[in-house]
Amino acid sequence: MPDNEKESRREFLARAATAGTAFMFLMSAGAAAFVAFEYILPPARSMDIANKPMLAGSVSEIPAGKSKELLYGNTAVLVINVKGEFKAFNAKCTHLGCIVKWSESKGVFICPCHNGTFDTNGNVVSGPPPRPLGRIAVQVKEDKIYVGGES
Amino acid sequence: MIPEDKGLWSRFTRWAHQSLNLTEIADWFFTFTGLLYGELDRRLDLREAIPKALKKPVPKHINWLFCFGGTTFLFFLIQLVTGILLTLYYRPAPEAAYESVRHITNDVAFGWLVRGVHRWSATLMIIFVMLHMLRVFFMGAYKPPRELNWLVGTGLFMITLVFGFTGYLLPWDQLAYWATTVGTEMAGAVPVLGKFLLLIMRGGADVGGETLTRFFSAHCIILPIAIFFLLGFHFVILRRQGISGPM
Ligand code: HEM
Ligand code: FES
Repeated sequence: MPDNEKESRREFLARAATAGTAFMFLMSAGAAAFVAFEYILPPARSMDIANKPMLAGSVSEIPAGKSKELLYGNTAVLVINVKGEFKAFNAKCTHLGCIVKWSESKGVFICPCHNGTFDTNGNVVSGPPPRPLGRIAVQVKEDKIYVGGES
Repeated sequence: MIPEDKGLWSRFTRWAHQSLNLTEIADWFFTFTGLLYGELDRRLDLREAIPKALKKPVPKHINWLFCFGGTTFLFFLIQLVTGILLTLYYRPAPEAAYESVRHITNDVAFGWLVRGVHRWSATLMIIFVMLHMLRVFFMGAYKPPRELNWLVGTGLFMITLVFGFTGYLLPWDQLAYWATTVGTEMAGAVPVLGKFLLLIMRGGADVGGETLTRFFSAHCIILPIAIFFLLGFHFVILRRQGISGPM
């Protein structure tokens, strides 16, 4: 019999086995939590961002005062013709993300959600939006309009 | 307790107290359906528990203001029943959701009623959980030793709100879509964590099919399980500590 102060071989092995099991249990729990976390995060593919200029249409399609809506990657884009000059904006309202509409009669962008309005430079005229609309580069080559990419 | 005036209401309550002895009715019912009760009672000794629960006295200071919690629970039970009925026809996919809700409303027998009750009861549940919180707050019923139940209650309150938020998207119409766009964008404005919260809630950069299935899963699976456990704690703690005293 070993003396009382010392651990017996049996006690030592039992404690080591307990510690080992606890360790393996914690590791698997950690791995499971990691897998679940990664699973919940949406895959990166659903966040594709376009970065090359894209054909938006021909000049004759958008007469002065009119607009055209299109999708550039995942971004809703509004192209307007202001007295012959083409401008493009990210149509996502800077307040809480609704898609703004071009109002031909008023000459401003109007957000249907809380009535934010933006002028033809994308600056806020009225309503809750804190920032101007995002500007999108426009290039006119011959009679074709391109949006996006470098300006 | 019951005033001896000639009012119709108090006459009714007095009559109810004297003639409708709940304990006797329950005992009669369980004896009458004897097979179940008798066979079960022989093994589980239930007969003792039922009158004990039914005879628990209501303290004198209790009034209608103390009913808001129970009313909230009643609306929750209505949500549970009508919600389960809705899942029989509802289809949580972007191509199918709107059409399935239209089908429930226009074609299914009493679908308009089930849907309408689910919607009204959702609104009333939120109103009554707020009234309940106000009652607890202004009567100081949150004070020690009842702080824990106040905490559980705030959890229940938040779950109720998230139920409403996730359910609102399910019809997948314009109102639902843009309300969710705006609501998730608000979560996106939280400092540091915002972008992450937005992604987790939407399941992508924009509100889309992934958002719909996520919200459906939350609305019909995750939240019901969560509220089941929290309600369990809430009621067990309440029963153990008893209702708070007079003001
Ligand atoms: C307990 C609190 C609950 C609240 C506050 C709540 C709230 C809502 C709301 C506001 C809607 C939109 C209703 C509509 O537009 O018609 C909805 C829809 C729905 N809910 Fe709930 N709900 C709750 C519980 C449940 C439960 C427990 C289930 C099922 C397990 C459920 C299943 C559904 C389904 C399938 C829909 C879509 C059908 C439809 O829009 O008519 N709900 N819920
Ligand atoms: S989202 Fe455009 S004004 Fe609120």
